[in-house]
Amino acid sequence: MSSQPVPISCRELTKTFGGRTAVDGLSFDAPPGRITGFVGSNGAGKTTTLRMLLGLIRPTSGTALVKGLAYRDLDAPRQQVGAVIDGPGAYPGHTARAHLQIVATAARLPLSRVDKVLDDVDLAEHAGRRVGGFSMGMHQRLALAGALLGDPPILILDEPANGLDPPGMLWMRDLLRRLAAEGRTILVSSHLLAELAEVAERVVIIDRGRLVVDTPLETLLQQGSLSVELRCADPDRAVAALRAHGASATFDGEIVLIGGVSAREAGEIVAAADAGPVHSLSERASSLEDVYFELAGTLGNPSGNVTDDDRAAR
Amino acid sequence: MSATLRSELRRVVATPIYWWLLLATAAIGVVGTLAPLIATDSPAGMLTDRKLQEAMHGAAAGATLVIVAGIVGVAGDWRHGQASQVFLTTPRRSRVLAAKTVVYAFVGTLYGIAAAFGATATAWGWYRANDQALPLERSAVWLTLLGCVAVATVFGVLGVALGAITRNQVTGIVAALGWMVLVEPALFAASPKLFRWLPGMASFSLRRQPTEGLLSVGPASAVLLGIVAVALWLGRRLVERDDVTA
Repeated sequence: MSSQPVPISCRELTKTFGGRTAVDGLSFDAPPGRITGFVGSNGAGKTTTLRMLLGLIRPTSGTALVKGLAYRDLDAPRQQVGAVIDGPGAYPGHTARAHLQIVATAARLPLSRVDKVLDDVDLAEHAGRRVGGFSMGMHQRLALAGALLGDPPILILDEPANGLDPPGMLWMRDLLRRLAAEGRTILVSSHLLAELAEVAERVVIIDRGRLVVDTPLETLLQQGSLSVELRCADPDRAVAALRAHGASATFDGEIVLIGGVSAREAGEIVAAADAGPVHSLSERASSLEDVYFELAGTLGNPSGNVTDDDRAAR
Repeated sequence: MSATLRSELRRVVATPIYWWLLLATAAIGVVGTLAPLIATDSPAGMLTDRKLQEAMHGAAAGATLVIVAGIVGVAGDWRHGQASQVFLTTPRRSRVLAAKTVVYAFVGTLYGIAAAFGATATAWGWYRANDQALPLERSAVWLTLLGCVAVATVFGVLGVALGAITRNQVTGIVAALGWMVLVEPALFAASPKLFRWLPGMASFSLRRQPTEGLLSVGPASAVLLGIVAVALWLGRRLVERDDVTA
């Protein structure tokens, strides 16, 4: 059994601002060497949680630990944890290089790392430009460069894909995969679920500060219901027949979206109802987005919290 | 601590506003010195202690602008999200504040020297143009200049404290300059005996401002240092206590 502390761990983490509870008894771990997606709608408490992990916000109760320690107790924190939180935090009048040199100096890192990370995030040719003139995507790249400056084994990234154009998203996806392949533990928050589904191996979903799901992505997607898409000559008759058989059936333009039955069963029902000919019939696996919205029905309900332990018990 | 200090120094050097403030300090030092000299009627009147103090007091401009530099040095971190980055590197926030205190004391000294140099060069030129020699050996000259540099040093630290208390550049700067330029002089004019204990008035005493009713240098120094120490303590407490949400 390993005695290594969990890279990122929250236990009964709670934060209240005035009378408003932003994070409510949240417990989860980010296992080593994996990308954990941290999902929730705006205001769900993602950023507050990450800021508590990084020692920027003091928890009202509970613990937020990195390598078993509070962030402020870490020795050389930049070498242990890299973070993207609310952009690069650079003075607009500074050049990208000057900004990173200031950070590197404070973190006792060799200045040679600055050019290395600028190169890693494809900002080398803009190193001498003032940050105030950067695009949103360049800001995000600079923020990532800052996170990578200490070559840390743990990365905590808050919405790192914000403001990136499609090629930028692709670049970010590749970078995260590469960083994870190097054995780093990555906790990445995002509301771009499709993007997250491309890279995350584990997903933690929160809503109104509470844990909804903490499970491997694959397990989560298997829990999602399979949906069937149908195109046929008489969709009204098909929908009526499907509903009569207890299936859910709704229109999405010319397509009938069916739930509760397999594609084969749906085809048989439609054929029996004489709603054919069938033009197309296909099964569509649930995406993270689908599962997220399916779970929306349980959000805010304490008994709706689902963890691996819960799943095992069921 | 030394790494935080070096980083803060690097930041000051790389940030254009500090250079502009330094330039403005020297420029105001020149103007502040010329104004009382232009108003002098006779060349003989230029050599009185009072006139020398008034002229050299142009160097006090440095003391005012360095407060702005100190406030920007701390509160500016909260404006651009730098506070998060700074505390990610140095999570012990009091260490950051201690480093800023040292750096802005140094910046204050530098501004004070720039203003003193501007005032001295201007006065030297003016006296020469009027067939006089600026009596640099007179205490009215060098004690005033020394006082201006000392006050600038202390005001650099006061700026750090005010920046830590407000954590908002505009609020900090408006409050500090409004207090120094408007409120304190008005209060002092209303009751010199009572309001000479205020920090701005105490700094006047250190700078040998030729004004009646000020504290003597010893008590004025104690008052000024005491107020700065209390402000620093309060700023440190607030920075340590409050969440960094931006």
